[in-house]
Amino acid sequence: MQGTTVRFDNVSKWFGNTAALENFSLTVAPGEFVTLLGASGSGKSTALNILAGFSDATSGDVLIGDRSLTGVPSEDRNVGMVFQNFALFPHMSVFDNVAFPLKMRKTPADETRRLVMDSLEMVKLAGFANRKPAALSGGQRQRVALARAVVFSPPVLLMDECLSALDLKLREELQGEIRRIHKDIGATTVFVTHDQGEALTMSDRVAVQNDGKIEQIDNPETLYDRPATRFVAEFIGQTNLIDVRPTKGGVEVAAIGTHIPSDKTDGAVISLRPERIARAGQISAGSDITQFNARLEDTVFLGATVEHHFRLKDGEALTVREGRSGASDLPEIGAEVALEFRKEDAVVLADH
Amino acid sequence: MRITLIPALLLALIFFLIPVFIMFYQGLFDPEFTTQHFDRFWNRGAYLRIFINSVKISAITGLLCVLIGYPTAYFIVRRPPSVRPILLFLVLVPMWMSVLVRTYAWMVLLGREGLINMALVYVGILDEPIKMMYTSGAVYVAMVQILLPVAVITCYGTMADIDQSLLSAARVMGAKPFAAFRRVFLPLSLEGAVTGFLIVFVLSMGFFIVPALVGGPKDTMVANIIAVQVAKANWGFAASVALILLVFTLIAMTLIRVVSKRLIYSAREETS
Repeated sequence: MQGTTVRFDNVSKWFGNTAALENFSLTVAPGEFVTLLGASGSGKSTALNILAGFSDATSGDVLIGDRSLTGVPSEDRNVGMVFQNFALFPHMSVFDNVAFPLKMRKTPADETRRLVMDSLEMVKLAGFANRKPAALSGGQRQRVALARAVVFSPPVLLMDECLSALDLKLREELQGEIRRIHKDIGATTVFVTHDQGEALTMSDRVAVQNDGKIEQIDNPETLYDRPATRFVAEFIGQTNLIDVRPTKGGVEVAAIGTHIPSDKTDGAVISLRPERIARAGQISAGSDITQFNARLEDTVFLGATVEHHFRLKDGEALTVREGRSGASDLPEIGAEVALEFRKEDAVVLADH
Repeated sequence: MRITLIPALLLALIFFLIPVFIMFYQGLFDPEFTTQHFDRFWNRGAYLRIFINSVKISAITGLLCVLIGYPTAYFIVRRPPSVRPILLFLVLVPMWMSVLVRTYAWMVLLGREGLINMALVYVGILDEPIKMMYTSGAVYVAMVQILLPVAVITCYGTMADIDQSLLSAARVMGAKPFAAFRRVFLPLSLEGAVTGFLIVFVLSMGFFIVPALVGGPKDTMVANIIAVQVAKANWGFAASVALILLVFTLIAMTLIRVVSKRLIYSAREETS
């Protein structure tokens, strides 16, 4: 089966005077796994609901392939969907739940049987066909919901926060499983979540949403390494934001006493990931490195890594993360420590 | 058992269990053990006919209440959450008036010189008033009006518990609106309809004001027999009729419950 392009074309959705979604444009390539990431109220679920046909856009259009979905009811959109609370039919057995989309498509009984069992096999629940949803665990229900969403080989698959109801271990297990199934069936997948870790592990591309607009859409590495806005830098992972002043050809970092080259003329902060800062001498030469001193205030043990909390000379806090390789002794609290980072690792951002 | 329950249990014992026991006793001992009161009920065709008629009236009232109450509840549950309490309130308002008052109101409406007849004659739909009072139709109209809120509330109860995303799920999986209703909403709300029917049926079986005031001689119900026998101080026979009514109602309820349990989804059992 082959996925189909999904395209949001300048979609807006207004509730009274507030925009849940504003001029939202996004093209998902056939077979691509795109995640809409954002806090609640960011418009990510609104976008999904419009795509599924549960609510209408105030303006703009959504297309699957070349077909506009305006005025097309949910049942005619041929999309599979996994709901946040699974939405399994409590009065039907697992088999009947998974068979439901096929029944609605008037699939012959023997083919239905075969497809349902294949689908249940895929989510490792073949032995559970006669159970009622109430007799399943949370993870099993999630798998049934997934089997039901893909049993009719939809070209487009939607997932709405569908892992957030599960505990961490189960969630990680299912993330892997969803990725595997996505590769198998090749459906264009739009996944909605507020969990950035989930978004980064699962997606081909992530669209970070804020206040009804897309802040940045990129693959997970770019999103993490080169955030486009201050919001994205803070939302994805952990970072140090240090105030800077724009100068000719870059920005002046007063707190560290260095100059970072940049094309941006409105640079107001730099984002510097804690693991990109090291103690002086640890970064191999050859790149443009800047060194500075900071006073260590606290060290937090995190298992595989430790986190040092430094204070810069102007009083700004700086977090540095380092692996516990045992290569060098940890500095003492209160000590003045020489640190360094590559200038290219500092991302210059505007203040909005 | 918690000690705070004891006053309530005592109250139930004194004012409910003991009277029921006395009723049993009076039906079966007069003063020696006897079945004469029951024999009288079975052997005189009139009493049995009245009983069967009561079952018929109650069953039809139950069905009518569910047929009207289910769509009403569906309408309410599909409104925005802010509107629903107002609509439910409107459904419940009539229940605050006594059954007697509401029955008299129907007499005012349905009588020969009543509002409906007068209005229909006035606009020319009727040439002369028709007989509406003292008919079975009047009994049904009044009983359904009185008991309808019960059916609406029980139907609404199960409907409000249905996760609305189930309907969205059905739609996105290819079900047209009616198919989504028939395959998902209806099966999940049927238990409320059955419960509504049973409650209305049981309450109807005990009605006597309505058939006595707006019904004809054919519309006499079991409770009317009991009332008449009590008035004649015929305690033994009244008690035996009451017993038959009680036992029949219990058996009917159990049967319907057992049958519906096999066929109908129940949220309570799934979660327990």
